[in-house]
Amino acid sequence: MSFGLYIHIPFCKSVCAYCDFFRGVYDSHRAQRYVGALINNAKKAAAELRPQQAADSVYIGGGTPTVLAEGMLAAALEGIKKHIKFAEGAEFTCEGNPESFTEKKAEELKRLGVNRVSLGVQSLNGATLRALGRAHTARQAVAAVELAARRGFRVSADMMLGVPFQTEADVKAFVRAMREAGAEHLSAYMLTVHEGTPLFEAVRRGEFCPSEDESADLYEAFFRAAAECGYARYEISNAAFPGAECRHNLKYWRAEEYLGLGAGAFSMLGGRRYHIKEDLDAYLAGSCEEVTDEVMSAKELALEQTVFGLRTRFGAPAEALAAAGIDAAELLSRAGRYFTFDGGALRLKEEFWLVSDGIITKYIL
Amino acid sequence: MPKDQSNIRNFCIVAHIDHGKSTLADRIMDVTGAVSAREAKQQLLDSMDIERERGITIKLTPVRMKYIYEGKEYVLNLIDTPGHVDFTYEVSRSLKACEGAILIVDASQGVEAQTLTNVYLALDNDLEILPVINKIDLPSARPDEVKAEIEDVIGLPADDAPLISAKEGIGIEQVLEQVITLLPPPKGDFDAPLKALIFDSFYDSYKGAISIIRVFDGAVRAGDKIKMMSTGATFDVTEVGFFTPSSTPCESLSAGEVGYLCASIKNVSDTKVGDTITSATRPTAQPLPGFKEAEPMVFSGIYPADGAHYDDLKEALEKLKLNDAALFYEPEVSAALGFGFRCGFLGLLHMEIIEERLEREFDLDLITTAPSVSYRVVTTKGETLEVSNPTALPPMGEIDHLEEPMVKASVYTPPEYVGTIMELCQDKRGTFVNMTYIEPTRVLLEYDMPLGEIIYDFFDSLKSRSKGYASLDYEMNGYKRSDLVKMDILLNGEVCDALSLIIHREKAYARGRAIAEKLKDVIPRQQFEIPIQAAIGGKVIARETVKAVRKDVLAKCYGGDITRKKKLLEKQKEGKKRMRQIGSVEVPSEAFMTILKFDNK
Repeated sequence: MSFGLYIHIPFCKSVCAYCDFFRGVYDSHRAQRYVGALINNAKKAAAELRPQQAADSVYIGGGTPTVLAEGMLAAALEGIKKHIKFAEGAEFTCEGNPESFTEKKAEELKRLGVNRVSLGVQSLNGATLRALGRAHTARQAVAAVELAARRGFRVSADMMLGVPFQTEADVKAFVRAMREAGAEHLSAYMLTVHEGTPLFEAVRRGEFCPSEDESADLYEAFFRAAAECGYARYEISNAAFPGAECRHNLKYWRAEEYLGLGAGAFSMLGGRRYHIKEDLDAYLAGSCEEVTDEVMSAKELALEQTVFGLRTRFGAPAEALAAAGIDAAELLSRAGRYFTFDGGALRLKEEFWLVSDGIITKYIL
Repeated sequence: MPKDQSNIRNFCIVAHIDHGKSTLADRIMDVTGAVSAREAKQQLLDSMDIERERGITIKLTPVRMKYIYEGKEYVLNLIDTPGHVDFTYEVSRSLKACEGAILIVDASQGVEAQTLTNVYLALDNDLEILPVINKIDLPSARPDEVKAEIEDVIGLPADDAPLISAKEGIGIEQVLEQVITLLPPPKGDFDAPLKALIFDSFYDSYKGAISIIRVFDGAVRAGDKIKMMSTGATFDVTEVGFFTPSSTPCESLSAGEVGYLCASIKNVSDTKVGDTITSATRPTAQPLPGFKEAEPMVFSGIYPADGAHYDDLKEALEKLKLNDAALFYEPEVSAALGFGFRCGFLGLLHMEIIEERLEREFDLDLITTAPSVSYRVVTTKGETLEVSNPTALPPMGEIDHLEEPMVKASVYTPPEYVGTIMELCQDKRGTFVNMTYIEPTRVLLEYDMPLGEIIYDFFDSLKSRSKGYASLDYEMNGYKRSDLVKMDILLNGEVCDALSLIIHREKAYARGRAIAEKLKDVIPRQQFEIPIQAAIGGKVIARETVKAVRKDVLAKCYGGDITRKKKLLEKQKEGKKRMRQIGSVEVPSEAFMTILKFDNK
């Protein structure tokens, strides 16, 4: 039995204007202690895994994992591997920011076995990058993608949509530039302006930001441009060259098992979803206190698999529908406008992906 | 058992709203010791929450008090009366139980609309009237002018009217002295068969329906077999008593007395307000002259927000009906709202009170349709139908013409607001009848107006245009042929019956536009574009569009987001349950309220 392993690195070089994630500004002493805490966490968590259970996907996220000083990630992985098995040929992703993804860093990640990088490019418009408080320029970002591709990594690039000063032309130019630079996978996220962030203040002061309808237009433009460049949309916010889908992230939408290491990291094992308390000091001091978010019956798990499966091109498998007590034929007779069913899986038509919540609450839940 | 009625005085207090009726009632009870200081709550008689909040009396509660005057003990029965134009009928019932009335007039405001209405009602019931001038402690008090006004406008001698301040407790003894010396005692026959009038009733979960009665002849005691004269139903009396104001059982109630009667009466229709109670073994020949049946003026559909609560609503209405003879209801089915009730009310305030009580006392979530009056439809075959629900209107081709109820409206106002009020009355399709300067600072404007306009937002507009100074009273004034049309509201091409209304043709365009605009704001964006149309017959007169939703999803959704996302979906689903499905469109409950009230532009 395989599972996904997620390793959370809650540090950044600088904090972006829109960010409300659990993270802090990097300091090497705390980072050093954090590596020790991760290993301690892995040792405890291994008890929850079944013997022979190996991670066939590993994802190092953050924060910005690439801010860690050289050797730290190596130490962490070496320690973690003592307790948790990595499967042969596992997909191994590391997130990074363009400004910290250097030749040297690429070299280090290669040595550690990382085979895929996900870069937070976000935008190639200078005014937008400044408004978001990003620490890199457009040119740096393109260079980082090129470097990663050149060094043989599978590369994914993130773009933010609905951000200040953004136009449809920006979106198209972004997709083309990423293809030129060698990315095989794209993710696009709608900006959520959280209260308490610097961007929230700026928007409230009247700084330009696309409206929700304009953001929806940008979304559609993004995935249209992606399709033209060969990226097939396989989830609401993700598109990839065929076969280049992110194996790790698919687990989240398929309600498969994953183990999260690090302060604030989420796990789902044996029908239980939980996370480690978001208290960095306690974590550094060796506490791995878990907070249980939900414990699901087989039927609830099947419903989760259905609801989140509908986010993807692969849809909700017929077995999950059956286990959740959903009659696909009956559903189709009521809501054929929105769904298709081919016997193997129920799918939401792509044109409704962006408005799926209302459809799911009405017809599935 | 008192065989002597000469020491009994049955009286009520009538006044325009805010002239101090409840405060005087409290003071009278203080002076007579009816309420100990500890249990004296402010505005004691107005016991319902809603009454206290709005400063009006809805339920009638007679209080028995003892008072020694010149060495003789008197029994005073104070019957409180409602103080709003909607409740003119309830006032008339309580007046029947009295021999006299204290008329309060505010020393600075003088005679107001309801002062007159109440005086005429009291005179119709042959009551002796004692004018008193209240709030003389206020700097703006002008008692001499107000006395002159009472004599000129009402035609009552006011020279001896006590000058009081109920708030400060000034002059209360003088009021009681006049009650005893100037109001007549009752004159019943102790030996005649029992004849008692039900002038109110309320429901008690232990004792059943309790009748509030005035005994005119004979006596009634526990164990007696009684008969309700309108239905012939008989009951065994389990308890009689009076209010002090807490209920106090006594041996009997005899001619001239006021109190309550319990007889394990479970069925609502057996405690008909206005009915005469007599002895089943020795009945009286003639019932008391009948009360006017309460006639509902304003109608609206009341539906449970959640269709599953239909039975709860039905039960609640049954219970309210026990306490409120003026409430009318019958089952109704709406294509949009499912099973509910068409309810009839005395007026808009009455309607609001019933809705509030249903929601507060019975914890129900309701959807209420726009209020309507009862229209008369004359068909092409020459038949006349009464229609209070727009949906029940026959097809236009079968209608020869429509008639609407009219009222004679009297507005009292300081002269500076005459212009704006005339404009308002004109706008509400009023026909000017008369304008009288009662005194240099007050004008009486009389208009012939459609009731349908009054029930809308007339009262609120009147108050806002006159900074609260103008007062309104109205009485029914027959039916008048009018160019009325049925206006339908279509959502995504389908008529929503709960939103239909009958309206004057000239008003339809503006109202149709306003309703469409409001609905556009209230109906959430859905998976498709929703046209909202107002139409008369097949002709669309206004149109708005709710655009299709563009984004309704959490775009970034990974391991840590799943649980939160599921909670959001659950919440969205809960929100949907409160929506009504009209064809393919989900409509929130508040949409049905949008046509209830309008901002006055």
